[in-house]
Amino acid sequence: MIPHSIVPTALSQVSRRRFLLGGLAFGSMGALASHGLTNTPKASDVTDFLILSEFLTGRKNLNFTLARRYYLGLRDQFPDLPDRITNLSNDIHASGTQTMDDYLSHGPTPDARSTATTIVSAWYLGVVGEDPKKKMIAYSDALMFQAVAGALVVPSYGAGPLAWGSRPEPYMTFKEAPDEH
Amino acid sequence: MSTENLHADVVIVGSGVCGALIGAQLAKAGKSVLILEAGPRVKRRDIVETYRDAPVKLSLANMKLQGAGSPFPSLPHAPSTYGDYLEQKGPVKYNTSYLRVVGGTTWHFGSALWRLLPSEFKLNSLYGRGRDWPIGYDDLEKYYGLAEMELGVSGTDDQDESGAGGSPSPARAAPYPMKQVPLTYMFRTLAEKLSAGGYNPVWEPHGRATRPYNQRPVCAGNNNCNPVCPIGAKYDGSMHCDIAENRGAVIMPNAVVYKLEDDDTGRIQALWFKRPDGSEHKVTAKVFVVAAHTIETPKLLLMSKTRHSPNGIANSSDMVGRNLMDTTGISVTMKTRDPVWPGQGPTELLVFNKREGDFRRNAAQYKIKVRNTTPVSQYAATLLEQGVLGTELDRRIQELSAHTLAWAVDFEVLPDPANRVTLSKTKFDALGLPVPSLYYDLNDYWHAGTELAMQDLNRFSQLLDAEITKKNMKFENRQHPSGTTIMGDNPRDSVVNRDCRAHDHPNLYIAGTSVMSASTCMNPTLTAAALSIRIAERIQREI
Repeated sequence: MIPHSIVPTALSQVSRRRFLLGGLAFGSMGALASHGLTNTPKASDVTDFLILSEFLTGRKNLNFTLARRYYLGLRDQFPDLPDRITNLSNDIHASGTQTMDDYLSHGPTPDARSTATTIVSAWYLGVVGEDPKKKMIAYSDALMFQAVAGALVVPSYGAGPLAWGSRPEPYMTFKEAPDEH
Repeated sequence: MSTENLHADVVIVGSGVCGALIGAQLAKAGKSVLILEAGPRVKRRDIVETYRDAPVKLSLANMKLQGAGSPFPSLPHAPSTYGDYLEQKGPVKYNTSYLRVVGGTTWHFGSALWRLLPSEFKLNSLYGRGRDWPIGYDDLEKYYGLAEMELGVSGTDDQDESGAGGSPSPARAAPYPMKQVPLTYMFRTLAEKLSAGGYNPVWEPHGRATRPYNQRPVCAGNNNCNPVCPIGAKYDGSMHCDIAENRGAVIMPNAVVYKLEDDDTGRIQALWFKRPDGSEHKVTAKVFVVAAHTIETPKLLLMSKTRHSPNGIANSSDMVGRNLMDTTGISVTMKTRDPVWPGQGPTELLVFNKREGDFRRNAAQYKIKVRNTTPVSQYAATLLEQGVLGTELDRRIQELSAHTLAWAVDFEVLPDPANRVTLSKTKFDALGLPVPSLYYDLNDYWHAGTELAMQDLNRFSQLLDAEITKKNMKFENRQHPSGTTIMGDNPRDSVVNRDCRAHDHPNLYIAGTSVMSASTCMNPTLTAAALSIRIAERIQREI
């Protein structure tokens, strides 16, 4: 059993924005740097971060509330995050690629790759930053567990009384192309 | 000094499994019981929440992170061993991790609950090494059975636990209280492939409920036995703390005992403890039990230097703190061709034991175990550090999780008086008490054992069509301490007698793995629990 997210999902605002911008919507990213560092980012900053994160992780349904927390957590530890996001977005845009795998094959700039790794690490591990400023954002919703879901539980969220024994079959399978379901 | 004077029939230092078992049994017999615990009370739900919220998840599977954090509290008056509390003085670090909380270290134990074999009580007479116990298996069999009932052990009847593949051993008067857990795909696969090569799989007896047992639900495969079972299906000492309190025993947390006092007849008259505010309190009793863990028990005895016992209480032999043992081990990581999927169900179960045979004249006995801890977070972190992104990241997290086997070997360690716990001369806790200072080294006997185990592991890799990707031969502490108040018939070279009573003090008992005369390569908790039930029986007869 996959633990249910404790965070409400998919604000209508996100889907609306995604609809309006269509596809890879990095149009507003360039404006991020000028927003200044406030504790309350504009919803559009978070939405842009969410859309970027979905591209970087190859996921379609990332959570808006988590995106906001990752964005704030990362910006807290990396004050130049808005600039880095702008540069990464520009690099993706310039590559003309439609998926993360294509973008990686195309060859990101070292800076863009570094920013992408920082953002992906946060979503996968559920943690932002380095020691001693490591901060937990999500545990059971960390994306790393999706790679083994169906086969392994998130530790401390067991499958139920004596509920194991059959051959593990992860939901996520890999052939030539990722086959996520 | 406080004017508060406390009195009980029996006062017990330490609320871990041993102290709590004794307290529960004596309270049931109508004795007044006071249990003093250095650390605080903790609630399971808080520990689980702290664990889930922690950016660094501590696990025995990730020894590198020992010291990085634990969901259990570290307080100035009872510092956590996950920090730098223990002072290391020897060539080999003895970085054991015990918990100073009500319920004790079993909160985070893997819950392996083995009986020793008859031969393991006779290491010296059979193989010319180490020491014999003054008692034998037959003396303990009844108490092993009682301990298995109290702790709720699930096990596989009718197997040879020595690992030799012979007839069932050790002999049991009664079957295990609960049946074994179902086998996972990995356990079945490994057992099948290694059996084909002549190895004998042994299924570990353990403290996870496989049917509702007392207050405990059935194990739900949370794969979180260490650091905490989220649902209390796995036994821990807090359960006997609850039983003891329900029967009228008093448990006093945050009471750090720092001194025992004896009189000229050798009887213990009183003990003293400090509160976190530094206030000092005295307790008198008819019988005193020290059950404070293999590191803290000798520390307390050594701190208790009195007019009649200038070297410390129970220490006329100078053996208090000496003969520090562990089941210090090594580990080997393998990558298998076929997926095996460790991480389903409980964190451990399958072992390959080499406990008996003439090799023990020259080499330590050992237990090879396969870790069944979900390793996803470690692998994901490593891959991200390597810069792996895209679909490849998911693919490799899955591949590493499915194909990586983490083997660990535990070895017997011989009692050596040079390996010891003393009092630090330079480092003190917030109450001004010296921290334990540890000297530890391993001899050729241990190293010879590691060579034999490596031969087995190389053979395993062939049988499993796997490649060894990592070895760590660097003395991994296994958190199985023993020996520091060693049991023997001779008061000149041992601390307690065959009843776990201090040779020097007729009304002082010592409970815990510290009394063990030999470490063996096995997890020691059930033996300490059996001895504790036997201690309670002795005390019950006396008062």
